[in-house]
This record gives sequence, structure tokens and C-alpha cells, in this order.
Amino acid sequence: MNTISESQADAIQELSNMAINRSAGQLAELTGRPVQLMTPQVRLLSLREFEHFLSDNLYYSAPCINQNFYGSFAGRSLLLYPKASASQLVTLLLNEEKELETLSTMETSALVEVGNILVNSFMGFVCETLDLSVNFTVPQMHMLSPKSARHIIYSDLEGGKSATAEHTVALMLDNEMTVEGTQITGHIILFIDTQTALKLVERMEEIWQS
Amino acid sequence: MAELNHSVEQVLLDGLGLGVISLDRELRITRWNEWISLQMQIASQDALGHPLVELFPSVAENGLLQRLNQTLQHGMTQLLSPLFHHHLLPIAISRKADRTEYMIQSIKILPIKDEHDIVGLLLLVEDYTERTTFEKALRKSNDELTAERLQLQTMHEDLKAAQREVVEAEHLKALVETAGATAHEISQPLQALQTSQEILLYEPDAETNPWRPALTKSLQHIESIVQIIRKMQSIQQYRTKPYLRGRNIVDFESASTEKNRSADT
Repeated sequence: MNTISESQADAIQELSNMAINRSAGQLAELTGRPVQLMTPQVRLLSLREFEHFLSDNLYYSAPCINQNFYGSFAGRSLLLYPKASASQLVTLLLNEEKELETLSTMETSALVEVGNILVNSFMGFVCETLDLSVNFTVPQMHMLSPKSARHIIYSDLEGGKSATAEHTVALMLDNEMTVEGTQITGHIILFIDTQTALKLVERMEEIWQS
Repeated sequence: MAELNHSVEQVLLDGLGLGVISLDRELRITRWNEWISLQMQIASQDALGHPLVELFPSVAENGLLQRLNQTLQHGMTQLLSPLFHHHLLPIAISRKADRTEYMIQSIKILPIKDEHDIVGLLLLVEDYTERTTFEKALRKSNDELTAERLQLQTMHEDLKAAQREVVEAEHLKALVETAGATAHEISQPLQALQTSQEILLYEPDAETNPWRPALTKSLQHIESIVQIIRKMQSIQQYRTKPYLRGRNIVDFESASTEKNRSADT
């Protein structure tokens, strides 16, 4: 799905960069290390395209943090790390190398907090931009598997209505942060209905142009 | 009906097994459930209406106040990991003469909204102390089991190596006995054969003997057999090499300490 123009992509990219960078200071304070966030790349994908994106196996058995939101609009946010980046992040946070599968509850919650900060900075910006009021559920961490990925992508988003490939899109930000020289890749994905996504894109373009 | 709902709400709040504190926009306490009352030894009626910072002065410095204000401003749910923050609400679980131990907590901050505005905050406090202790013990036990498994693995490998050595020693013994006996039995007739061939080769009219080239060749072959016998007599290791139809045969060259003299010279 390629329904955003180049200038719209630029607008989202620059504004998302501003949004994401709000969290750099907080992440630096939390980790006790300098954190630099790069300008994210933005993509709008259909659910099928997103499922295909996951299928190269870089993301399975890696942690993902998802959070539902509801109110003026409903959807789900997801923070996804490739396995190699997740391992690097864990090493940075815990100061020791550890298998992702052996993380304790406390260590897992540290990953969730980092993810929560990144997602909040972006979602806060989206809500401000669109003047929307949404409520969030508590973030949850899962180890991504083909089964859980399908559940996250396709499970009900609002009021028992099934998310269909035609009505929902994945707005994806490819995010790179450098923590004390170590580059960590992550993706923030918003599963929202197509109309809201397009409204968001148009509004961002307007703001950027003005 | 409203009274019943309030009672249900109270039962839920008190039965959750975690601390629930609600705050208004000025961060004054509006709800203080039974769990937090018990942990803090402060009854609900004594906590209600007081600013959170009055009961927990350290929240002004440890970052919690800042996070509460962020949620008031942006309305985002926040999760504060015990790994980073340990005990943002200093709830003592044991006091000793020299030090006080505090509850390790995971805190969630949720905004309370009316139709449009954020009217307050909800703090959910989960006790991670026991879980952390249990996980540490589990990890220690897991590390010990891993170390034991590695030790058993090493012992198993040592045992297999020792078994291999015993089998090899048996093979070597049988090989040395068989090869030694064979070499001994062949040596004497071979010596006689070599002597007779040399007599024929060096007799007075040997220069004109038409069999001379064949005799010379024959003596060279006898010398080769002598070399093989020497190797058979100096076998030190059991070594084999592949032979036809998937079978192995003894490799005299690598099994013996005797090198091929013709090759050396």
C-alpha cells in the first residue's frame, strides 16, 4: 500500500522526529548513558504487507511491546525490535549479556518501560496533532511468534469488530537510536483504521507546510 | 444502586492484591486502598486529602513527581520498572539497626479522564520484592544446575575417552602379539631365502648369468619385506586405514616407530 506522497512522507518523518526526540532525555536519564535518536523512516503498510515484513524471521523470538488505545479513535500500538537489537538493548540496560528467553520479570519490565517511553512520545504527539483524546491500556510485553504476530495484527481492535485487511493499516516508523555508540533499531507501529491514518497524514502535512 | 456499586468498587480495590492510590490534579490523595493502608500503616481517612508529596517527600526528588506531571499533561499511561526505580514510594518492609529494607515496586500511572480532560491520576503499586527474591534464587539454582550439567558432561566425555583408551590398548595388545609372532615366523625363512639369492647373484660367473636382473629385483623385494617386518616388530599404536568394501586394515606405517629405511636413505 503506497497511499502517501513523498511530501506527506517527509512531513510525517520530520514531525515524528520531533516527537520521538522528546524521549531522548528521558531515556538517557533512565539508562545513565547518552541517547541519540535518528530521524525515523515512515511507511504506511497494509496488514498483509506488514505480516510479510515480519516473515523474514528477524523478529520472531524477539520481544515486542503492545498497548491498546481507545477513545476518539481506537487501535493498537506496537514496538518491535529485531532480535539482535533487542539483545543489544538488554545488554545495555542490564550491563551484562543475557539470553532474551531467560529474562526475569523485573528485567522484562525494564524493556517495557523503554518501549513505553518511545511509544508515548509518538502517541502523545499524534493525539496533540489530531486534537484527539484517547485512553491507553497498560503496556504488555510478548515474545513475538508467528501465532502471536497474527493475533496482534488481526485481533479485534474495537468493540468486538474484527480488524480487516481493508479497513486497517499499519503506520510504521523505523526508528534508530544510538546508546553510547551502540546502534539499536526498533519499529513503532500503529494499527489504525485507514480513514484515521489518512487524516493523520494530511494533518501532519498541513502542520509541516504551515 | 449507587451504594451497591460503590461497595463493589471498594471490594475490588481492596481485593486486588496491589496498592491503589488515586490523586486529583493537585496530586492530593482521593483513594487509598486497604493494601496501601496496611503497607504504610496509615489508615485511609488519615491519608485522604493530603498531597502525595506530604506522605512521601522523596517523590519530589526521585522522579515520580515528574512522571505524574507528565501523565497529567499528556494523558499517557506509564510503567515504571523496578529495575530502574527500585522503590519510588519508600515502603519499609524491614528495619534493622543499621539499615532499612524497602519494598521493590513496579508502578503504573494511568490518567483518569472525564469526557475531555484529565481530572486525576491512578497509581497502581505492585510488590516485586518476593518475586525478585524468588527469581534470584531460581536463577542461582539454575546456574548451579547448569554448572553441574557441564561437570557431568565433562565427566561423561572423560569416561568415553577412558573407554576408548581401554579398547585401543586391547587392540594394540592383540596387534603387537599377532604382528610380533608373524614377523618372527617369517623372518627365519626369509633370511634363508635372502642368503640363497645373494649366493646366486655373487657367484664367480655371475656377470654372465642371464637371471642376474631378475635376481637383483627379487633381492629388492626381499628387502621391502624385511622393512615391513621391522615395522611389525616396532608397533607402538593401534592405527588403521580404510581398505576395500568399507573395512579397515592396520596401517603399519603410522602404527610403528620404525620409518621406512629406504625412504630415509
